[in-house]
Amino acid sequence: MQVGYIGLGAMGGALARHLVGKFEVTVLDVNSAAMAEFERLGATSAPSAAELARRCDVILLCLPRSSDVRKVIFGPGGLVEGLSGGEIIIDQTSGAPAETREFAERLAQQGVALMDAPVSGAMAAAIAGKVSIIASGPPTTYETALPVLQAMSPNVFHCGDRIGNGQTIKAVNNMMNASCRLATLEIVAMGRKLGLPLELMTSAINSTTARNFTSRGMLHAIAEGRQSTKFALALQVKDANQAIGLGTDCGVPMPLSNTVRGLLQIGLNTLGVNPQLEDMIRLIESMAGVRLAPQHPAT
Amino acid sequence: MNIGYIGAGAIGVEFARRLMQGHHVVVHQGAREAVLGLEGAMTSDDLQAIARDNDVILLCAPSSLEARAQLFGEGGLLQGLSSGKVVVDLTPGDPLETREIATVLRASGIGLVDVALHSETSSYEEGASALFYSGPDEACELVRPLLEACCPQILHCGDAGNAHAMKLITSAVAACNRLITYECAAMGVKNGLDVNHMSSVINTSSGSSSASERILPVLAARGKTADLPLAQAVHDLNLASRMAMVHGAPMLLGNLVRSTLETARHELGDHATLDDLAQLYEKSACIEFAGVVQAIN
Repeated sequence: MQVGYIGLGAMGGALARHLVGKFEVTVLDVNSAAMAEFERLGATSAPSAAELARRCDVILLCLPRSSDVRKVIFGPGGLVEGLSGGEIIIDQTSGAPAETREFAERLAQQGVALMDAPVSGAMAAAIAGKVSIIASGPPTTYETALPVLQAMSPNVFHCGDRIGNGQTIKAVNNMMNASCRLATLEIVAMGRKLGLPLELMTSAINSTTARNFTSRGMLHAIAEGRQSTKFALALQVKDANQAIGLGTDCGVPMPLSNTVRGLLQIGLNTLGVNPQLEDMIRLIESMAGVRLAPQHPAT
Repeated sequence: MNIGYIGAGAIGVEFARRLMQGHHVVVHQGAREAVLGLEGAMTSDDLQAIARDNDVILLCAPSSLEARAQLFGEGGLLQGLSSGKVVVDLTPGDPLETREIATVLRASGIGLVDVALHSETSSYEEGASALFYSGPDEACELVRPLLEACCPQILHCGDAGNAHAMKLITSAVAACNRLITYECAAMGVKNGLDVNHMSSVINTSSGSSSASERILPVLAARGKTADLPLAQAVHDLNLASRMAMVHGAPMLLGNLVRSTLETARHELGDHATLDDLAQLYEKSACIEFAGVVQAIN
């Protein structure tokens, strides 16, 4: 099986690495240094998407946005110029489900299948080959793609036949994570104003139904004076926008998510150049007029 | 130990019942639910005598206002209390009130240990339920075995008022976890997702919380995860909201949750529990969590 991988960024690169050695891999990226690195590992590089399509049976994409995916597939020199029918395209972009479905419909007319298989989890998990891959698509497509997906991680989950379900679940997960994070920080900040120490609140929260991903991770990190996230705030806002868009488009009110989105947007607009998700801690602190922990590094 | 119990609160009655197994407990007749719920207990209608005759007074009033009345009102407990005795305050109290009450009692050598139980269920599960307690060291040491007999997970929170304050923090975050789960799951279902798939993915990912872990696996079947009445959750969030105002914390998400719970309580009635909230989310998104897929294209 000839496998192509387009998009060798932080996540794409980590995932693609697992394919080299298990398949004949052809890569493509705007960054020639990234491609050179993969050639050193044993992959070949293609001069264009069209050429990559000519060589490959299964083509994976891991790009920032669905608009990038659209260009790579249908734009000048794009995949469609080289596809002959029978190929499978796997979109690992955290993209927009409706657009992904549109791409799939268009490609189906050429006899090419497209399915989504975004990943969920930390970079470390992707590098270690353990990240969660949330795949959706019709059974025949999924079965053919499965060996390629499993080569990147054994944690592959099939969430239905409908294309875009994987990207939708990822949006739901990300919104829940962001919302629980800001709710926890906001309420813990209030607790600090009531005179409660951070570590004590963390113990109390983690021993009850108040427990969540943030209380298990970030709260401990803040108390210990270390960073726990490495994620551009602009990308977090993009995720929130997408999740809320999915709700708005079909009439689901999301008041909590919208408030969370607003807070993230305020952070993006006010926290300086290229703010990080971690910087939201100091936004919450400044809004409440309190420090969560004395040793938290001043940013 | 000789324990006097005053109050009608369900948690107080449950605690008194557990303590009856190893200690001598006298129940105040003023609360009918307590008398009925604690069959076989000795009763008395004399607050001052209960205070005089017992080392530890367990008080579970509906709020700080009634707690003050029981302690400092005419014929109240204070007249019978003396130096060295301990009042265990299980009232869902206002931390500021609790601190003031503790100061008044301390002047007479009486220790106040405020206690709060965080539990969404009547069984106290590890990882889900915990008892917070705070107050002067000696008083806390004295009553610690009693508290351990009531709940396996206990956490010492420092000075008087801190346990009541801690309860507001955990209640608020827990309520946020739950409503966030419903809100986002509703969006997922409306976009064609199966709740069980969401459960499997989210509960092994960064979106997980105690709420998603307990709710999502049973949401399609309308399963039960809590028997805590909505009214109690509203009470806790109202107190949290007031603390936010007094201490100058924004609490944007907490107040949104508070309002949602308040609306729900009026719509669903006084006997509604936390799980009944799911219905409101179904209505507001026009979906059924039970898996009728509302595909949009």
